[in-house]
Amino acid sequence: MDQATLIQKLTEAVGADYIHTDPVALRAYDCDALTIYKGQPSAVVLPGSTEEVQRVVRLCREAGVPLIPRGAGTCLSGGATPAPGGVLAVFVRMNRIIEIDYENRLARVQPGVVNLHLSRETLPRGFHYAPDPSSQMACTIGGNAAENSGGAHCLKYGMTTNHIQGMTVVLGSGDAVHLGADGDETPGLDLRGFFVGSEGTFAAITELTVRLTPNPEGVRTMLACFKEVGDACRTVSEVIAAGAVPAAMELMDRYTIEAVEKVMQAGYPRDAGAVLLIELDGLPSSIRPLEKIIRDICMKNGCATFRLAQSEAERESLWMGRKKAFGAFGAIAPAYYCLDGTVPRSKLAEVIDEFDRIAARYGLRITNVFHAGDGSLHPNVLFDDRVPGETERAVECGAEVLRACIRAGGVLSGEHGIGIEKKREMRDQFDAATLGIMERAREAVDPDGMFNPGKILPGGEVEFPICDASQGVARMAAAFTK
Amino acid sequence: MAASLDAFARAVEADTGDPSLLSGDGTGMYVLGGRMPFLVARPASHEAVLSVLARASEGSLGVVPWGGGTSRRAGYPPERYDVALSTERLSAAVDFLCDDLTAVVQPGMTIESLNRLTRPEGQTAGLDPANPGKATVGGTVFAERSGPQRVRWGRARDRVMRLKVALPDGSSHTYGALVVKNVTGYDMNRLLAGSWGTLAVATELAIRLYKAPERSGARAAGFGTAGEAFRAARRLMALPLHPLWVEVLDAGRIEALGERYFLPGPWCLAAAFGDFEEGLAEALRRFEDLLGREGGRELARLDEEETARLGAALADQPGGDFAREESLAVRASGRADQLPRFARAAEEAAGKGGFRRAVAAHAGSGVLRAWLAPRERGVEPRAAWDAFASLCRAGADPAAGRFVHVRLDGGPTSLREQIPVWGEDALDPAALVLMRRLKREYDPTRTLSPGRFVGRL
Repeated sequence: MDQATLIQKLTEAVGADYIHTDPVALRAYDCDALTIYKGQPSAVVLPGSTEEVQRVVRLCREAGVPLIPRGAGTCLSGGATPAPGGVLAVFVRMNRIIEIDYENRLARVQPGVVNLHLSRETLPRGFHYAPDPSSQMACTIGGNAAENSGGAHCLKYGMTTNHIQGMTVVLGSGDAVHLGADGDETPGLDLRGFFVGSEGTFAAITELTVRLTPNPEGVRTMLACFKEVGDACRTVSEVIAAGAVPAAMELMDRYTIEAVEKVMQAGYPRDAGAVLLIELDGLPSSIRPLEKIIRDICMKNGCATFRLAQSEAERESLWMGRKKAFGAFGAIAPAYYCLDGTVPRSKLAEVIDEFDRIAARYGLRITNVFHAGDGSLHPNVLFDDRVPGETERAVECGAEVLRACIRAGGVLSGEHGIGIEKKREMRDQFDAATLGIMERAREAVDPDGMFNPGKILPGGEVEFPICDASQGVARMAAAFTK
Repeated sequence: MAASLDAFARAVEADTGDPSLLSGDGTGMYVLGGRMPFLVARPASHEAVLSVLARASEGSLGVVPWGGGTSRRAGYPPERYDVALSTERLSAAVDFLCDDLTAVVQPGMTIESLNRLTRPEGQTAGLDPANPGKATVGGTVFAERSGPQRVRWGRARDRVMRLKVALPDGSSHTYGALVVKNVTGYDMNRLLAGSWGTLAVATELAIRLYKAPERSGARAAGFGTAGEAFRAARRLMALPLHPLWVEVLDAGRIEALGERYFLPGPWCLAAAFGDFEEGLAEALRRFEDLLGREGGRELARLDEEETARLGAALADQPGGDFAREESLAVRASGRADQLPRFARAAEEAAGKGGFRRAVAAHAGSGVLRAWLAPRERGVEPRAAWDAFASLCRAGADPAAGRFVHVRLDGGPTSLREQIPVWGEDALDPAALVLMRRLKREYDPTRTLSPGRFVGRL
């Protein structure tokens, strides 16, 4: 099937209003939230049902063109950046909450439902959907499942995989198959668990059954300020060692504090070397003893000030600083590159020191804002993408940071996925035999390589070149002149 | 076969230099589905496991990994069963990183030993399979033997941080790391956890730990019907009390527990909570209120020691007649409001051929277990299984997103050869195709537990 026929048949499959082929329109889809890699699709389709997705998959299969599933495009590792020439299936039209079953604490949703929208719907009835990535106002539940997304509160409540009971997926054959169960058990291999986090390389998710969690009755949010980031890290390690696991424990270093306070005045002390934003939730009677344990550990580690949010407004302000921290980096640098290695929680202080040394070697700055309680780091390399070569230097610096995480016994990714971004470093994480079985497992699930090529595993034919700001402008101009 | 076994034994001995690794004695301990292996392998290292698997693969032998043998009555009899690979010499603690809430252990360590390791530090793995004195960490993870405490800590597969495994092609893989949050590559740990020894053999597992609750306690009340007891359990699960376990038991299960527990019936809802003193008191008080509102009678209050004892007893299977070779153990899983249907199905199944029954449900997790003991010898169990499976499944409606899974967890070999024991007849055929393809990649020679698992993988 030639390209023109494919486009014509795709148009018939999803309707003329739901396909884009114009180069200018396609520009909006050439990357996800990791903007330094781009790939132009041949078409973007917005299917409206499982059946339409099946038709699209079968057409792509017939034409020998890969399909790339995409939710809201908030992925930070390039997972939703299309392989050049592929067909991008965007799921934002499939945004219906099909059923909320309060009796059984489950909801059935289409993949394009925005994460926060489900909780908004269920909160008044006493439940919420627990996974809460920072982008939860925009990201979709299908995208979260594809990436096995985390979030601040997964310290207590677990990752996305712990909240997905079942999924309907469309395979490369065009077959729709249900994986998982409504209850706790399903026959055979845990395909649901294997597909969650497969970054759109196995199948397209078209429906999900997710767990709802009862709302906590009490919440205590506190801010512990430290002179040195190392003291804050040690506090985290000791809190975890004491088994006093809060709902969330977020660390921000002095650069992050500087950026946040410049932009929105969240109330973080500007002279602090680091702050810990700690949240406890549960029964008020359970929270009180936990609060005392955590406060004592903070004080023992040189906490300069320990502040409890006294009102919901103050709590929201403290959280707003954390949630908007990435956006605030714009106030202190033209561009930043957000990483997400994870290390054992006892190694936090030593890897943060190592990051400083790496940044100095590359002549760049690294800020740290992360889910400390999970050991899930977000080092951000600040750079100027208008300076030729600096983007490449930032990427190399990032790779060095990730290798430092591996040396500390950690991993390349805690919640953003591998995507394009870290696939080269997969060779630092795994030996050839382990990568080989992952490759073969992928081929077993998607034998024709229909889904999202060029992601996760190193090697392969699909390449995504680094694209800095100057190249971006040139590409934009080229698109408009086509 | 003898020549091939002989060549296998010589090759393994040459590889490992360990003449005691293989033995033809004591194979009667490893009977599975009426079959006995020719040899028992007792490797003491990762390399020795690799040798056993690779040499068995070369010789087209069937190998069944063997932990504590507590799941021997489940699954299909293996198609080929030449070697039982016992993990008894791989039972050590490799590392206990209590500051990181992590235990690294070999697969043959028993759950009781793991508990002994973590308890002095006030930590728990939250693994509570039946028979913890025999059940091993490897077996619990690979056979997914999650007990009542799954409602608090999650399933056994959720505990796995890192796995070191050996494959029949002689390769070694390590998946995961000693971190609690990890999306680096495909989640191979979840693929292997619950794979019933059909894909790979673990030689080391890193297990995530939690702080054990400071204090614990439980309450139980009797209800006139299963429907009332399960409804009260659903109301409990809608509260943010995070119970340690929530079990609904019928009179048969209460009786099988023995007199020491004095649980009220005929249907009993029992739930345990763990927290600091103040939080525990509030959780118990609110549960008592709920039991009162829902019509619970004869409230029983269990102290810490009684709670621990009952929790362990509920994790175990009932003994006596229910543990006999001809008895059945069945389970069904679905939405929590299907549990009364599953209980009725157990009752109906018991009526087919005159079985005594005991029923217990992990009521917070949508899983019901039932045990059926024949009142007399020679009872044909097929009708009972059919009745249980069909009535449970009548609650399924895939088009409306309602799924029900049933499986035979234990029963006579003759029955296991007649029926789809894993309930795979209700599984999406495309899912089964994927499982077969994954099996082919991991174990192309079908060396590991051939034919034992779902779809006779």
